[in-house]
Amino acid sequence: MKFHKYTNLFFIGLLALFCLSQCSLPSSQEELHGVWLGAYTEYMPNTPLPVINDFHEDGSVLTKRLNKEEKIYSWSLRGSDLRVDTMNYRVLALSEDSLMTSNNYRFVFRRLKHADLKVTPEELRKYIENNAWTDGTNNFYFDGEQVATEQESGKVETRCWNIEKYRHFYFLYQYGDQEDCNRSSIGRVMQITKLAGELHLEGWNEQGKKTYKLKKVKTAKSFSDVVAKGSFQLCSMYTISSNHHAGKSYEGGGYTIKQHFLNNYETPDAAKGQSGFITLRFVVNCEGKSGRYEVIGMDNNFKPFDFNRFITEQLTALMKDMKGWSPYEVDGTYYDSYKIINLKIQDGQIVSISF
Amino acid sequence: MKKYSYVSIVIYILLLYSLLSINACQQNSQANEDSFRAELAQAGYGSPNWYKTIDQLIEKHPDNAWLPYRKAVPLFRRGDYIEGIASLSRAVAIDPTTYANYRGAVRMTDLGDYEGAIQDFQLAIDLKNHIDIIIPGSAYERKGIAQKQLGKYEEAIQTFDKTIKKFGINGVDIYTFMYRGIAKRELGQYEKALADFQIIIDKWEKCPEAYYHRGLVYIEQGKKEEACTAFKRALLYKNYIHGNPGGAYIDQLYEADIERMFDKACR
Repeated sequence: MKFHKYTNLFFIGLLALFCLSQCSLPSSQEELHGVWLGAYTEYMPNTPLPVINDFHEDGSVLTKRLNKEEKIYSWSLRGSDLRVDTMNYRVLALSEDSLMTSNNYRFVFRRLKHADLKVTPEELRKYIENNAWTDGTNNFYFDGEQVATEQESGKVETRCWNIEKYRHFYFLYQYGDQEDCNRSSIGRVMQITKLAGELHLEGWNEQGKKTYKLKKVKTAKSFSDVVAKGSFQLCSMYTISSNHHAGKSYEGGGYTIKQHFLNNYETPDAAKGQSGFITLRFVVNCEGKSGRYEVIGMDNNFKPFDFNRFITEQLTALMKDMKGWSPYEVDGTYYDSYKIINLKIQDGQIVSISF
Repeated sequence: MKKYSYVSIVIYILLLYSLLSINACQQNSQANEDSFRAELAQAGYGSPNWYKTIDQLIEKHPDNAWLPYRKAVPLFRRGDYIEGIASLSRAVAIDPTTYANYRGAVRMTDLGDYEGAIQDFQLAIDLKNHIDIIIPGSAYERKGIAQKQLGKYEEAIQTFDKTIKKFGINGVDIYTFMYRGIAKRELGQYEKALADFQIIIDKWEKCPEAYYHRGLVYIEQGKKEEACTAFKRALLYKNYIHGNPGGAYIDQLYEADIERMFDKACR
């Protein structure tokens, strides 16, 4: 009798182990109740996920992409299997403030912070627009439609902005680019969590996790002054195509590119030993402007090598001088893309140019 | 006693089920390309997560050549040759038969490292796998192209001759004749060069490169009228220019090149 008792206790223990050994732990429906905001898709972490999912106790979920209409579906959660309408997802992780689901790809959501701002959308817009805000490092200049972000480095980026309210939650997001609000879809969604003379933004999105505590800048440069300072800017907020056939994208083709370097480059004095390969990498944006210039040196064994600055500065200047770029285009839409020009260097002399 | 027996049987069945579940939960650890692709598909291609995943797989499967090759491809596409060549070289060290030719192509076409490329092509030839299945091309032909690029025109012509003899006129890429013709032109062997371009035209009358290079020979010979005719035909077939959005071929032809020579010869 005693033997059977202990034997069965042993197997009950193994049964408990079996429950724990399942691929993922079961979640409860209550844990999912509430409002979740998409952070990013793990498939491509720098791609935004501007989606609100509001799971209700009555088995309905309101799903809404920012700036789009809301839709209501039914939902259920059994163990780790989440069903929303006819779509099946697996809940991979669920905690107090984060949720990860997957079907083909993994989606990361975050729970919104409670913040009842007690303002109307119109009041909030007036509070923000035509003002400059700073967190001491970055400055944000808002006009009625665009925001110019000035980084500590002096780099300026201009996007369109908007606010949206869902229940008592407010969101600030960016979209478009410096020329066209339709050119890049919504991203950089942040929850507005506090006003009271300041502007607190809670960001957990494709750019990472960051809290901004912004104060109004009393003596501010004008929005147009700041925008005028900005130079090269990517059209997209989160993607640069890797298409890089420079010859096809330049006026006059590969011959012109080669002539540009061969005719204008001067082999510096005392360049013996300056041998290897140099990759010139830069971006041509959707408007055909170039920027983000890089000079990457390698020795003849493809190990990192620092060429002297008489070579690298010349090559950088020659890259910047090239004005005949066409943007990468697919079916009438233009994209930012990398361009690459490789040089073989022998004792400071350009021996070959490839792209 | 009987009651405990029934309980024990139920528990045994549950135990058996749990063991089967644990086994089913474990991922298939068979190391092959399909399983690697499936795992990498979960991460966005070329994203930081993708690189993290592939690095983990490389560490887990150090004798697999496909993984470091696969890692190299997006690195090349974004111009990261230091890390890209290192990764591809790892693949070549594990499986030179499959990957030497491809590394040679990258060295030759992307970087202009013709000497290094010739070594890789010769290795592929010695290992009796001259066909690159990654970027289709023969190591024989590519060796000739690299020799041509180094200015070793006679060597290049010999390599092309051997290749054509080995595989036959119909067994080589049509552009082998273009490269051989260019090498002959460089040596002043104009009639022989024209003959090579004619071989291409006989096989495919819409090859713009053949007409273009024929035009260049006529320019060298001072035959402006014939050159003009050739460049006109090249322009007519400009939509058939041999091209690749990811990068230029050696002696890549552009529409602008044809237009420039057309202006020179015809105006």
